[in-house]
Amino acid sequence: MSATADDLPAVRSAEALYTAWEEQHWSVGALPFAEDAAGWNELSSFWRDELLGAIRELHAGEVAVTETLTPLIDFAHTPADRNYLCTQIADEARHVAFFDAYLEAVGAIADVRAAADLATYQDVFEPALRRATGAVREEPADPGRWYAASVHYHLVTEAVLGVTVLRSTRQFARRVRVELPALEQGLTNLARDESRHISFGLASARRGVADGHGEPILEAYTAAIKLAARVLVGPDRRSAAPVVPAALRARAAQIEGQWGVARDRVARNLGLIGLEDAVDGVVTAWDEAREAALDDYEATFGAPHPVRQAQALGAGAAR
Amino acid sequence: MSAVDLEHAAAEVRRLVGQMSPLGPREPASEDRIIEDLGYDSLAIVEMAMTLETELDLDRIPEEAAIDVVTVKHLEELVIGILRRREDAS
Repeated sequence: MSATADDLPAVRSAEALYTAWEEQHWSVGALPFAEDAAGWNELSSFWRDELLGAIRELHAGEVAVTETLTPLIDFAHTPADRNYLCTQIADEARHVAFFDAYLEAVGAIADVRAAADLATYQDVFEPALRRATGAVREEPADPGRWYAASVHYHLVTEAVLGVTVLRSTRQFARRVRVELPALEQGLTNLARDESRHISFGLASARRGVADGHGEPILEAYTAAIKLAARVLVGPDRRSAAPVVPAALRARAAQIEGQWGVARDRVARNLGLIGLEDAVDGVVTAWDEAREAALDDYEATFGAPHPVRQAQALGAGAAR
Repeated sequence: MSAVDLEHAAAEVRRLVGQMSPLGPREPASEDRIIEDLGYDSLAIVEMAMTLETELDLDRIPEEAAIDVVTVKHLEELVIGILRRREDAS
């Protein structure tokens, strides 16, 4: 049986999140981009490409969420929700400004604009997010649509995809052997902002479940997490598979670690909104979507994904 | 592929592994262990392997031929094995 709202851990109210926003302002212009520009030139091509790939994913995500939030603001259920959501769209705009300024400073903005390796996100996930939020405008009197859109936006785009990529990018940036202070500070600021956004999503989805909208919420969540699993696998993006077995295993472990973070979030979100009964079914849907994406990767590139190549090598210890 | 070419490839492996050591550039011996003696962690191994593949134009090897690497010597053997297979196949 699902927990009642009273049994669930406390989450911050929209009013509290608004207050936190006022106390947690930051400025893109205050970040030391010039220091990162110098450090960026010292990076090896491997680290530069890895870091740029991750930043590109975050940048694309921030642009999409900036463009799709307004229906949730226009048809917010309470004045407090609307006030809070207006702070969030300011955050999203600041995040886009941060990545634009960063990529400009390190001379990579042209690479990002020319890149075509985010096809799964841009062709599959983002249109679904736009449809979900756009559907709120078409039928504003239907609260189920608003909750479904918020779940897609806050609980999957931000709390699964965003959190996972942000976390792995921060970890990666910390292992680079040169100083990148603007990136470190900027990503820390982003993580703080995202924490408020996710809190709002959890609180509103929990309210939706309690008010009898559990079915559209679960339906939207399940559909969106399948797409998120596909985005993380990236069946349209060739993933480097090192020839050296130890490197292949390390690469696969790095990728699987990222997928594991996302899978944990998928399950945890449901528990936090009062739908823990659905965890097993949704996690199974996640796993099936991931395996289907891996099959598609193999069909596209004529070789298994590095994770499957590493599995084929076996888990034998180094000799 | 001649013995000289293979020795050159082995020397190139040692040079790259030493140059990219997280402990700082050095001249490693073949018996040096990549993790314990040269300071490589998982990401550094991936970086080193990808650089080796680019510099030596290495192909993917069959799973049954894959050997794991602990020392620089193992890595030299792996690279030489890949180059020999490519030579045999051409």
